[in-house]
Amino acid sequence: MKKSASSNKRKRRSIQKRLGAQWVALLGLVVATLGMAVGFAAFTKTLNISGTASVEKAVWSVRWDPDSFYEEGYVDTTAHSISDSSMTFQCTLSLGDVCGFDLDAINEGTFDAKLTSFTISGPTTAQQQYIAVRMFSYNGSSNLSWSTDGTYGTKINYGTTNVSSSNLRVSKMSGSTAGRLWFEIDAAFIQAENVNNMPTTNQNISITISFKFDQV
Amino acid sequence: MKKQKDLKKQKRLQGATIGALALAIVFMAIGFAAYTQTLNINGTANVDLASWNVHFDSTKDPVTSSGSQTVTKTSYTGTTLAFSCSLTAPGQFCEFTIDVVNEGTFDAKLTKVTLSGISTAQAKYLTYKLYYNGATTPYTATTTVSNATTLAKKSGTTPGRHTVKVRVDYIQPSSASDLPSSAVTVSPKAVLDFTQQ
Amino acid sequence: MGKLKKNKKDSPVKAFILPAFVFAVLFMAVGFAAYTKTLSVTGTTTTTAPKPLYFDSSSFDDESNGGTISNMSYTGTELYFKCVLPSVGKTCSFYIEVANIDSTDYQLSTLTMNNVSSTYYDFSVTLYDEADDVVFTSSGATGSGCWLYGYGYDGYLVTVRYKSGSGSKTLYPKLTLGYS
Repeated sequence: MKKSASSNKRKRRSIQKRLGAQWVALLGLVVATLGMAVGFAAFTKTLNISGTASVEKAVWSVRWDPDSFYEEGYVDTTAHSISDSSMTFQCTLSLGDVCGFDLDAINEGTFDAKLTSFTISGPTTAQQQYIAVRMFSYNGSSNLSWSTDGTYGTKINYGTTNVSSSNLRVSKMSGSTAGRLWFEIDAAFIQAENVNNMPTTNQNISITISFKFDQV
Repeated sequence: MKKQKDLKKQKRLQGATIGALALAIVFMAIGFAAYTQTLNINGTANVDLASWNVHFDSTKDPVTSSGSQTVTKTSYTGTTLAFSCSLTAPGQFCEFTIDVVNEGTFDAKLTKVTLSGISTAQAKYLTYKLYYNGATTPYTATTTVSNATTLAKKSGTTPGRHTVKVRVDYIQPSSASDLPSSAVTVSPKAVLDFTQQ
Repeated sequence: MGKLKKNKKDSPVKAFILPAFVFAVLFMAVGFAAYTKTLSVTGTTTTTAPKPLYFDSSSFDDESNGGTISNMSYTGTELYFKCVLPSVGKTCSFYIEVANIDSTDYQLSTLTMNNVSSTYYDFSVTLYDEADDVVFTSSGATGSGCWLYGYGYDGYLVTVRYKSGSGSKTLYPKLTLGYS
C-alpha cells in the first residue's frame, strides 16, 4: 500500500526529532565524560615550610703581626720585610755574633689554632755545623724553647720538629683581641764542634723556618 | 531515498559514537565506579562527606631535636610553617620535627619535595635536609617522589600521620676560603606536594 | 636525590647504632678536615770568615791538681772556663790545641788572660810546638818564632794557681790568643 506523502513527512520529522534528541543526549554524555575526566585528575595539596637561619661568620686566620717586630739588640738585621704568611730578614755575622728579633703570630679568626710543628731548612750539612738557630715561643701561659746547638732549651735538629708536649695554642679572636704567640728567633755563628768544619771563606747562608699551625 | 540513506548514515554514526563513548565510560567507570562505591557504603554510622584534607598538625609545636640550636616557630598554620634559628659556628645544626596529617576521606601520597633558598656559595657551608616519615636518607634537592608510603585517610577519628624532619647544618668546608666571612641570613624553603592516591 | 625507603620495622638496637655511627663519622670528618696555615721566616745570614784558627775542643785534656774545671767554651782563639779552687796551692790546668784549618801560616802575636786577679792567683801558658817551648806568666806580646803553620796545630798548657787567700774560690778566666 502506498503511504501518503504527509505520513512519510511525519515519519521523517519524528525520526529527525528522535535523532536530534539523541545528539543532544550524546553531547551531554560527552560533556559529562570530559567533566569526569577532569575531576579525576586527583586532588593535590601543597604544604610550605619556610625558615630563617642566621649564620655567624667563620674565619680561619693565622698571620704574622708586623707591628710586633722588635730587634733583640744583639746584631741587628740589616733588612727585613713582613707579610701575612712570610717574613724575611738579612744579617751579617762574625764568629760569635748572634742576630735575633721578636715576632708574633696572631689569630684573628673564629677557630682556635695551635703550633704543631716547625721545620728549619736552608743551611747545608757543612753550614749546619757553625750556624745555630735558637727559638723561644710563648702564648701567655706556656712556653717552649729550642736550639740546634743545645745551648738553649731543647736540642733539636735541622728538619722537622714536632711541638708535641704542649701544642702551643693560639686562641681565636676574643672580642677585639686576637690570640697571640710570641716568638724570639736567633741565628748564631758558632764554632763547630769539629774545627775542620769551620768556613774559610765568607758565606751567604739561607735559613728558612716554616711554622705549621693547625686548627684545634 | 537519499534522505533515508543520510538518516541511516547518521544512525550508524551515532551508533559508533555511542559505542565509543560507552567504551570510554566503561574504562573511566573503573575509577568512577570506586567513587560511586564509596558513596554507596550503606549502614555505616559515621560516613563523612567526601573530603580532601591533608595539612600540618599545627596544634602540635615543632619538636626541636636533641643537640640542635634553638628553633623558634614564628608562625604555624595548616599549610605553612615559618621557623627561625641561629647558627654561630660550624658544627652546629638546627633540626626539628613536625607532623603532616590526613583528615580527609582520600588516601594521600607525598609526590614532590622542593627545596630552595640556599645559594651555591652558601651550600659550601650550609646543608639542608628534609626527612619524610622517619626515613634515614633525607631529601637534599628538589625530588619527584614516586614511591612514598601512603598517608592514610582518616580511620574512625584517627587521621593518618607522617612526620617531617627538617635539618640545617653549618658545616666546615674543606677550603677555609669558602667560609662565610661575614654574618649572613639565609631563607631555606621546603615545599611538600601531596596527591590523592 | 633522596630515595624514600619502604617503612621497615628496624630493631631498637639498629635504630641506635646507625645514628651513633653517622654521628661518629661526622665527628671524625670534622676533625680530619682541620684547617692548617703555614707561616715562614726566611733569613740570609752572611758570615764573614774569621782567621782559620780555632781552639779545638776535642784536644782538651784536664790536668788540674785539686781544682775543678767546667763550662769550657770556645770561639775561635778565645776560650772561657769556670775554675773552682778549694784552697791555696791548688791548680786548674788543662792542655788545649789551636788548629789551623787553612793553608796560610800565622804567627802568634798576643796572648791575654782576663778575669784572673793577680792578688790571689797566678797563671802560666806554655806553648808546645815542635820547635819552641815558650812560657808566659802574664799578658803581653810574644816572642818571634811562634808560628802556627798551615794545616798545623799548636798545643798549650794553661794553668791557673791559687796563690794566696783563704777559702774556696771560683773564677771565670778568659784566654785570648792573637795571631797575625
